[in-house]
Amino acid sequence: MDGPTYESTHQLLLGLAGHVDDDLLSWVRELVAVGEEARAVSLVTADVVAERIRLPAPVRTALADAGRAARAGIDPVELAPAAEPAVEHRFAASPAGADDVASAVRALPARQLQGAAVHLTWRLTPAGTAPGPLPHPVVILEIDPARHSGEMLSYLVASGLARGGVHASVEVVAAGHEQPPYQRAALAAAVPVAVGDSVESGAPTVESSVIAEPVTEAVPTVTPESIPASAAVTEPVRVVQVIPHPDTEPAEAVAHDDETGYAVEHGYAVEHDEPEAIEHDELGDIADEDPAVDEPEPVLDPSEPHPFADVRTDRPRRRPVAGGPALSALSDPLSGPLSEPLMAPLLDPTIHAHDPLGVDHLVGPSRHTLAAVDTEEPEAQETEEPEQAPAEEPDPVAEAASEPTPEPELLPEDSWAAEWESGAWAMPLDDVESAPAAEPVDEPDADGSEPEPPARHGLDQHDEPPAMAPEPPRQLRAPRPTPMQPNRRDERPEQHEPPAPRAPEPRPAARPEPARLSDADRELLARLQAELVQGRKPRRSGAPTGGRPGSNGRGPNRRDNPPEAG
Amino acid sequence: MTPTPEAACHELLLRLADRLPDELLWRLRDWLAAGGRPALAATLPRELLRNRIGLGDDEMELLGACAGAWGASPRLLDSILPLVGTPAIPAFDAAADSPVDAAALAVLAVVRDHPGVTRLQQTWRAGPQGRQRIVTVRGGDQPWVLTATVQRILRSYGDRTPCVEVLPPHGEPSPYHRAAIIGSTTLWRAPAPEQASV
Repeated sequence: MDGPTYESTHQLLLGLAGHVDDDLLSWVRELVAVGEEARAVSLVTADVVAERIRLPAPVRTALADAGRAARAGIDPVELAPAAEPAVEHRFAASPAGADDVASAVRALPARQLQGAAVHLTWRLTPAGTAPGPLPHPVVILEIDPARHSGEMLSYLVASGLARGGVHASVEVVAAGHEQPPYQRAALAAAVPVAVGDSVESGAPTVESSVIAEPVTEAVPTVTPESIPASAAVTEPVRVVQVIPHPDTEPAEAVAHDDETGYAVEHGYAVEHDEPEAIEHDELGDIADEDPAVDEPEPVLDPSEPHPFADVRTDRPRRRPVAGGPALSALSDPLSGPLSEPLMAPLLDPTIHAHDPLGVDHLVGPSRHTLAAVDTEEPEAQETEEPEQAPAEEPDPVAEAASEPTPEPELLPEDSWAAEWESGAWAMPLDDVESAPAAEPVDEPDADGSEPEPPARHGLDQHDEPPAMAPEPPRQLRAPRPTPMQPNRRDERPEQHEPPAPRAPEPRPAARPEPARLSDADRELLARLQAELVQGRKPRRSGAPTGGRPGSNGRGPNRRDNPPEAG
Repeated sequence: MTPTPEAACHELLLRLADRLPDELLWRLRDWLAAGGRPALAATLPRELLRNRIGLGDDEMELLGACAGAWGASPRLLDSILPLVGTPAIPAFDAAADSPVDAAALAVLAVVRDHPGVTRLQQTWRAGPQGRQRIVTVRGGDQPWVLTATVQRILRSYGDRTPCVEVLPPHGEPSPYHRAAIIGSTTLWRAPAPEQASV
């Protein structure tokens, strides 16, 4: 059959490009992608009928057929008679007045576009009866139809660009097939764009990072012989962008049947990468760039199961790093979907005297993981720095860390919580020295040898208000397993109950009891602890989240009428 | 006086401001001006249903006067939901401190010469996708034609969902339009007709 066909809805919409306005076409493609094909055909038919748009004969026929099939409610006889468009559309690769759409296209997630060749051009002529501003960006994707869904990809890319404020048309064409004249003209004036990270560690060629320079020397690196003979269109191929030599004729692109051959012709480096490499690389790149990763991991002993390990042992354990919040979120097991075992103790109605909130299994010696949940809150950053603090004492920490798994609810929890509830960590320097009573006695350097109070320590690292830390950093220095102190056990349920004042409230230096937190502060800490466990931000006011369903957001042992925060 | 189908459709589409999605509503108004009767008869009732828009009694009459007259099936019209409650009125910002931009100037150039127009106003409605310009015109012959023209001008300046409300010169606007007018800056007012000398 000569000429492009418009049999499928996808092909019909390709044929309508340039005849109806770009916004309608985007909308209709989105409707088809989400399964509202009948509505899509009705809308576009109504527009063509209402505006008396003259379509080329094959497109008109296809539209009439589609309208009948979709029961659009419009008599196809209402369609204006077929006619060739009065003015043909013109495209240019980089006309005057063009915004920087290329960056937005490059920023698209590469995973979705595996195996698709991405091009960008600009239409200089208006489309539809109420055209938008010009030049109008047009992104063209050449795909293998067996691998991608045309409408779905168009919708994904268009909505991805729209989220970044770019409203471009996305034309998805099958590589190697004849295309309608609009897309053909668009491709002829398009430049290829590399999508995804500019530095992809899986890429065997270096050109991918060089976008703007004309890399003429890249052309000889790819020879036809280096491409496997089996490089059919169906193979996953990522065409890395190389700005073609100025002499290269882009118009030749459309004449190629083979996607790989097209790439070779125009000096693209063709790689055969595993699709999964991209995601790992992106994460790996981020992790590797952070310099703080270099320090030894003092709290997480690799030989010891991760505190969350009972949940998912196959989860990759990434080193949590203080610094970029996004990185911490990556390393946080709670940033993913919580699985049942993690939440089970929280939801367990059994009230443990030593752990009324049921969170002990979550707040192991590795405080950083808990801290990593709430990366935007000062508390979280505060608690992350304990990881750097224990650099002074890796051994006791590791030793302590090896303990908790058999009975996660017991010993390290106690030492940690004991110190926490003492409030000594949150006090100014002078108060700390005078707060021995609440400290577990076998923390050798707990009191006297501290170079600085834990609250200040947090300041050095993050410039946060000193009172932010819901979890005292000091425990990490010596989280020794301390024997359970029965009186401490009894105190702990109480401390969780009173609701806390608003989170950023600094701890006043003047306290009635240096060795104990005020009720309000204890409540705050308990609430923050619970909320960190839940993986949500602490609310500035109102009831905290977490706890048993039906308990109105409070822990299982909370009093019913806690004093409300101011 | 029985309104013509065009006038009835125009009035109905005015009332559907901020009830039907903007990206659909401006197209329907455009189709009205282009004479797309079968398109409106087919699309308007279906989209009311799809978007779960209820109509009051007077609005149902208007719908029958236009879509019904243009061939919409009575069964389709009967399935329109009744109006329940009153729609919430959004916030409008007059932005009186900002200069009148090029798009508004182009609109003004067209509006002031359109017969019957008495006032041109503009406001900004806050929304999830940022703020939306609302142009309000009082008066104007064949208001649906003026609506479509002003819409196309705004589209060419980059407004992807132009909101142009051409209201009758007299009469009580709907609560939505009243709020929009109150929150508007006036771009142009027609000069008072000269007193005929006795």
